[in-house]
Amino acid sequence: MECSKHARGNRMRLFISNKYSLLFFRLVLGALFIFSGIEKITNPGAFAISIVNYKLVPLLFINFIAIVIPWLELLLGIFVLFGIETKETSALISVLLIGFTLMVIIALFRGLNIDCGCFGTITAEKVGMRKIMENLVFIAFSFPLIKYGSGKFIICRFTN
Amino acid sequence: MLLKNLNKKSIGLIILSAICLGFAYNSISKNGISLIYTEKEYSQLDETGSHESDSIPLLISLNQTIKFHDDPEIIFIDARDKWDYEEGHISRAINIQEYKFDPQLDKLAELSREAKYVIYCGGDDCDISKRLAEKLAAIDFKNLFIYSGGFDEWSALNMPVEIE
Repeated sequence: MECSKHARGNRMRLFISNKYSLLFFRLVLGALFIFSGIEKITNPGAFAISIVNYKLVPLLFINFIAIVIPWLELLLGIFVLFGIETKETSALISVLLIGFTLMVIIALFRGLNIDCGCFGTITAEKVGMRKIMENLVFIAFSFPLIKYGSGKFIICRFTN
Repeated sequence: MLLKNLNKKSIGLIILSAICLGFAYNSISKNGISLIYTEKEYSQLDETGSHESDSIPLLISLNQTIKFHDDPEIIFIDARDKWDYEEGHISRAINIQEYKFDPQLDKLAELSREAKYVIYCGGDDCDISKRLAEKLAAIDFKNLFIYSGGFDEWSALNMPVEIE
C-alpha cells in the first residue's frame, strides 16, 4: 500500500516536472495574465470600481493598485510565456492568484453580489465558487514552475 | 521552502518595472485615472420632491420610495440577477440585470426616456443599482432615482413584494 502510494507520488512528480507539462503551464498562465492585464490597462477606471466593490482595500490605495496591477499582470504574462525568470515570475503569479482568490472568498462570505473584475469589463463574471475553482487550478499550475523552472523553450535569466 | 531559492533582485525588478510602466502609461493615456480614488457622491432628493442639482441619478429615502410606489406611472427596476428577482422583488418591479446590461436590449427600447424610474438592488451594501443607473443615464434616461435601502429594507418592513 505504502509502496503504491510512493509510486503514484513519483509518477505525479515526473508528470509535473516534465518539460512539456511545464511548457503547457507556462502557455496557459502566460495567455491568462497577458489577456487580463491588457483588458484592465485599457480601462483602469472600471478596474478601480471593481476593486472598490470588494470593500477590502482602503480608498487611498485603490487607484495605485488599479494602475500597477494590470501592468504587473502583463509583464508576468509575457515573462512566464517566454520563460524569462520563470521561477520568480511564477512565484509572483501564485501570490497574485492567492490574493485574488482570498478576495473572492471573503466577498462570498460577506454575501456581496459583485462582478469579479477578473478580466476588466470584457466578461461580466460574478464572484462565485466557479471562480475560486478556476483560480485553484491556475495556482496549481504555478507551483511546479516555481519548483522546476521553465521546461522547454526558454529565453534566459536577466540577472545572476 | 518552495520560495527559498528565488532571486529576490529579479522579483524586485519585475515589481518596480510594473510600477514605472503603470504610472508612465497612466500619465499619457486618455483613459488615465487620478492617483487618489474619489467616490462619486449622489445627491438626495429632498422631502418636498424638488431638487436643484442637475446630477442624475438621485438617491431617495424609504418614505419617498413608498410615495413613488403608489404612483403607477413610476416604474421600478430591480437591478439584481434573475434568480434573486424571481425569489422576490418589489411588487410591479421589472428586472434589468445589471451584470448583463446591454444598451441594445429589447426591453430598454420599450421604455420611455422621459418616465420616472426607481432602481434598487439588495440593500445598502450593493452598488449595482448605482451602476445600472449610470448605464441608463448614459443612454438618455432622464429621471432616475436610486432606492439604496433596496429589497432588504423593503421586504423587512413587509411592504408589497411579488414572487415569480
